[in-house]
Amino acid sequence: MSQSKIDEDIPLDRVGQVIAGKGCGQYVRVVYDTVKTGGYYIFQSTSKKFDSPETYDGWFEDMETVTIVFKERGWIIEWQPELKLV
Amino acid sequence: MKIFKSIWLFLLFFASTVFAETPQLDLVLVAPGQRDEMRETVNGENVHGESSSLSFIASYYKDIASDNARIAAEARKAREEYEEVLNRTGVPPQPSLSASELESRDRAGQAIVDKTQHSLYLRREKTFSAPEREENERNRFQALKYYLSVANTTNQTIRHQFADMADRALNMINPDMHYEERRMFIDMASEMLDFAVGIGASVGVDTFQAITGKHYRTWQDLSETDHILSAASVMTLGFGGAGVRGVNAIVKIADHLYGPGHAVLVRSKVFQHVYDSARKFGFDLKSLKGGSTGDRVIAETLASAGNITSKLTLTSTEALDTGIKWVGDGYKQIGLPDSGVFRSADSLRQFRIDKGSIAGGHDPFVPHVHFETYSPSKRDFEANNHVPIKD
Repeated sequence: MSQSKIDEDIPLDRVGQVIAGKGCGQYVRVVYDTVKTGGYYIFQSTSKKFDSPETYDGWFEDMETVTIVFKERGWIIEWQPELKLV
Repeated sequence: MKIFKSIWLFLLFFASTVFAETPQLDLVLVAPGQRDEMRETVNGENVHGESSSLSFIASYYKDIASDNARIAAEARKAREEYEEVLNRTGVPPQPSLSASELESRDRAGQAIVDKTQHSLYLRREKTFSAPEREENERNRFQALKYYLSVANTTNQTIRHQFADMADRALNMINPDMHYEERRMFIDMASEMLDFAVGIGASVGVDTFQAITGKHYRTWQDLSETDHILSAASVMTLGFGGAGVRGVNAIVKIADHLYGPGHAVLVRSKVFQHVYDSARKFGFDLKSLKGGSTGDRVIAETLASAGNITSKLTLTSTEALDTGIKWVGDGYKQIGLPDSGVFRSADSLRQFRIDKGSIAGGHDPFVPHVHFETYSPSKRDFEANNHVPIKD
């Protein structure tokens, strides 16, 4: 289990839990869509499997923007490397 | 524009027919000036009809609207008389009612509320047969499922607006005020704080109670007053007409139940926020009110904050027309070519029809498009409205 602050690298395709900031307690995952949009999705959900009704996506143009958005939301994320999406 | 439309029209039509299997429960608003009620529909069919708790509430507004206007006029007159005496004599007028007289007045007010509740009860009992009520009960639970899914998207701004109003009301109190006036402001502040909590934090409870007519924990029947307040709270989840009526209703009910004075100060402030939001993004809210479904989506987006799932559903054609209207002239596509992400020229509005959303892989788990707002000073969105599409 690794904890990351906003200034550190944001891992892709890994599930993390917001332990400080907006939406504390929710799960997040950042996905780089190289094929269709060329941008980054931030998925947010109340469910670890991202299958609850409160599952949303935001789209951002580049990693720099994603990093700034993490900062604006005041996020500290506890990343969970073992968790894989099925 | 034509290329923009033709490519995405095909994609949207394809996706919405292939992926959209989940029945969509939608709120349909009757145009202002026709019938002042809300109806719930499933796939376009009216399932609640006249018996929905919300249309029941709507009829209540009509009953109290004239009373409310009269009470507000009396409150203004009382204030003018108070100021006239103060200006003329330099001394605040003495309270016109003793404590016992005030208690008596409260009892009289409660009697009016009780009488109204009784008449509403009779009206409801008289109108609907037992099988109709049974059918309605089934439909209510269907609606409940939907409402609970949107309960978490409560508009935070409205909540904060009420809290702000409470602060303002408290700040307006001064030692020279007439006893009754002080009491009125304190009551008003207290109620506004209650509403702030009720609308924001407890909206799930209100939603449940509005649909079932029962207390969320004890499962006992709600009093008519509690039922009315819960339903009014839920109504603020809707915008583009419904939200305005919902806020209006809450203010009127507060006036009716707790005495005059609430409406005058609060309503204009709440509406001002919505109008200001619309102006900021270059929309004339008056032209959006009572307009097309697309216009109501725009109004809904403008009045929202954070992630929300729209209570409205667009066809693919409506989605594209509304998207074009949303981003306006001079928009640009960002990301890869054909990314489906379109930004307005001022970068404050985004219309997103990316393939992932069209596939419906996340909430609302049906093909959907995004209407988003941004502020000039931040990179994160202000509102991200997920709007289902279906042909």
